[in-house]
Amino acid sequence: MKKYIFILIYLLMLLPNAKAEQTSAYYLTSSNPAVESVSGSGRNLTATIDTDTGLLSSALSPSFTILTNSPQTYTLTMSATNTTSGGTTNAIFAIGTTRYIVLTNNTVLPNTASVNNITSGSPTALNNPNAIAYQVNNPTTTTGLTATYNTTNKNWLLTLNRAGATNTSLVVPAAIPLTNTFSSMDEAGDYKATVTLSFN
Amino acid sequence: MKYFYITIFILLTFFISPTYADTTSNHTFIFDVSNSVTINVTGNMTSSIDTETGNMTTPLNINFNIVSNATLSNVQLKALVTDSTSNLDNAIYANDVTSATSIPLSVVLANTTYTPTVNAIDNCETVTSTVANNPNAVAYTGTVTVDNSGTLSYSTSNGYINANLNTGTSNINLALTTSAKSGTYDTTNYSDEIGDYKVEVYLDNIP
Repeated sequence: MKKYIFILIYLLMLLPNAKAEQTSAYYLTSSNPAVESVSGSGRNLTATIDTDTGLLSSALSPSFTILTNSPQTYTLTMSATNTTSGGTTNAIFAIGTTRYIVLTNNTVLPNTASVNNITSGSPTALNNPNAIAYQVNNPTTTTGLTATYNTTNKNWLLTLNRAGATNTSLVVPAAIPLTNTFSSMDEAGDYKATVTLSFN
Repeated sequence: MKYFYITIFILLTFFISPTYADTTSNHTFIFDVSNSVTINVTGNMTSSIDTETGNMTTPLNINFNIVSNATLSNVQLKALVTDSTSNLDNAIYANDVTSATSIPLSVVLANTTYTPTVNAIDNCETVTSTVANNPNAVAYTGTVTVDNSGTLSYSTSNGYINANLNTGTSNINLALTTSAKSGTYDTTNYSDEIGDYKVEVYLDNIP
């Protein structure tokens, strides 16, 4: 009897196998590289200076849009420079916890000593012609973006922890200048500073 | 007396007609030859994305070369992506369900590092996709074709391509263009994050 059972099993094994199969899995892959870009996004970049008081007619607020496609941590530096007869100098300085930005006359360039007189923290009007300092806020922040002032380099370290588009601005309020930086020594012309934001 | 009977028996034995062996013999062997299907796969399966446009730098394609000794029906070309809950979702989207030798379609590729939600994948598989609603999923347009007088049809309910193939050599070819489907790659806010975008492709229901 056992012999017949074995024969039956053997015959069943000979029957065609009807099970459907599938091929191996293949993968179509396209790599999306990192995106790191900063673009200026305008806002208010010009104002006029009251010739009596030095008051800015409106706040200045150069703005930037940071674009990334990764939530990893990025660091960026926001800095500002101005132009003197001796070249480009750092426009940012602090007195205590208050930050200032020095605008220089681009029609009649000041010498470097004029800017240094202001950034020393104890300006004297006669010694800083064609350079004027205004108080400046820390860069604006948002969720995923922080800004820390670097007292050594006199700029800001921005730390970004979010993907997508993130905006930040450096606001110079519509206010009078730092005492002893605006005087009749400051000649007519365009007073400028250049604000830069870049990935480290 | 004993010898008499023995002699009779021997004589009778000699009188019996001799049996001659046949010079030919017929034997019928029956072999049950089962379906034989051989598949070779080739293609360009890697590319990269231009972040300015979302288009790929080179087109992706995969070709299934199928050699069969019988007609094959309902062979299924499937494409799947992994969503944020680790489920596999259909990645093929086509409007045309008519049986044909060529079907235009879109195929979704999903970020393998920052996996998209199923809603993001589904948004890529709509007539009008919007980048805000499909982060980390990008679709590319293309076609799937078959030769050897085979036919293809798109199953909307199952999300895959059905193929009917004839005996002989057939090719099922899925070719994507470099163009991202409109509204699936975000060039403004870059919500499609860094990483590899991948789709799994295979043939199923092969006898």
